[in-house]
Amino acid sequence: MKTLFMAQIGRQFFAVEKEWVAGVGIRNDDNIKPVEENGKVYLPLPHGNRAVICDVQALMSGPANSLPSKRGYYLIVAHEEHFMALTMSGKGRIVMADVSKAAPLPSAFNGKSRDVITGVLINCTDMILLVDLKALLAAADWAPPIGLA
Amino acid sequence: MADEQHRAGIRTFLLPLTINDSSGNVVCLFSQSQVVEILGPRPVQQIPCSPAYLKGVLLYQESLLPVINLDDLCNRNRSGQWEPYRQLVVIRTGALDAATGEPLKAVVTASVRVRIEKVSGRELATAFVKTEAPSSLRNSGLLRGFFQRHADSVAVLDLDPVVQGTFHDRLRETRN
Repeated sequence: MKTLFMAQIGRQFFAVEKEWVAGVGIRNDDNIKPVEENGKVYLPLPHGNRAVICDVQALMSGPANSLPSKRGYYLIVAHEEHFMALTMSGKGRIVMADVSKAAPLPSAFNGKSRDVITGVLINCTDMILLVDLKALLAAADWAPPIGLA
Repeated sequence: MADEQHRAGIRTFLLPLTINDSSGNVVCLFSQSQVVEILGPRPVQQIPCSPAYLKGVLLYQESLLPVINLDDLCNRNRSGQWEPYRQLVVIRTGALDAATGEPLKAVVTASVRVRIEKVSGRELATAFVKTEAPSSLRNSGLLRGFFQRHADSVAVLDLDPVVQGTFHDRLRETRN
């Protein structure tokens, strides 16, 4: 069993290993304004750090289908010295799951999608996509930039 | 028995396609042995960083099946935005699952209802006239055959490389 952080993004569930999670932040907080630099949008963090904002919804169905920016939260994840803020619909929650039971993606999915989604946990009719943070950070490097909300 | 079937005809499933460089009605033909089930709309789980023609995965009888949009697959310059669909067609491909030896299945989205028609053996032999396919289909790397039948242009596609994840290699070979 592994402890995972489960985030709802749009109508879908994603899970990352809890160790990667640095925190949760409120979107559209008047005190913290995202900054645009070289086509990427960053969320300022304490201690001079910053997280690149990644809109997972836009990675799935194009920039036109970004999550509405007025509500929601950021899931802030960290890998080595890199931070990423994933837009999510709710606050997310901690769950325990047996990741060895995760189903692999069908073989039609290869390349980046297979690197980012390492497996799918099936719970009745719900699916939880297991995210590899390193691959997602790499994917955000080539993803189309998102505009400031 | 086979003779009876021959007389009665074969059920075919015709899925309308939008092909950018064709002004006529183009349909993709699936035979009754290929079509497992036609489903109404249900949630499709989208997968980040996947090609535009792969719309996500669908949980079908405890298996995850890839959901394919044929218009995005055949028109490579389309935007690939998520579009509503009316039906989901579960199909059996010719590719085999290496682990189970079973045919790999996939789901094809249909933006309008799939037409179901019975075609007799005689009609199969006479009414389907081989014709030149639009270039986007010719260059898709998936075309098995292209025919004119009454007012329709009928495309027969090979989706095996798509479900096997070897489509991009096939496409490269076609273009070289």
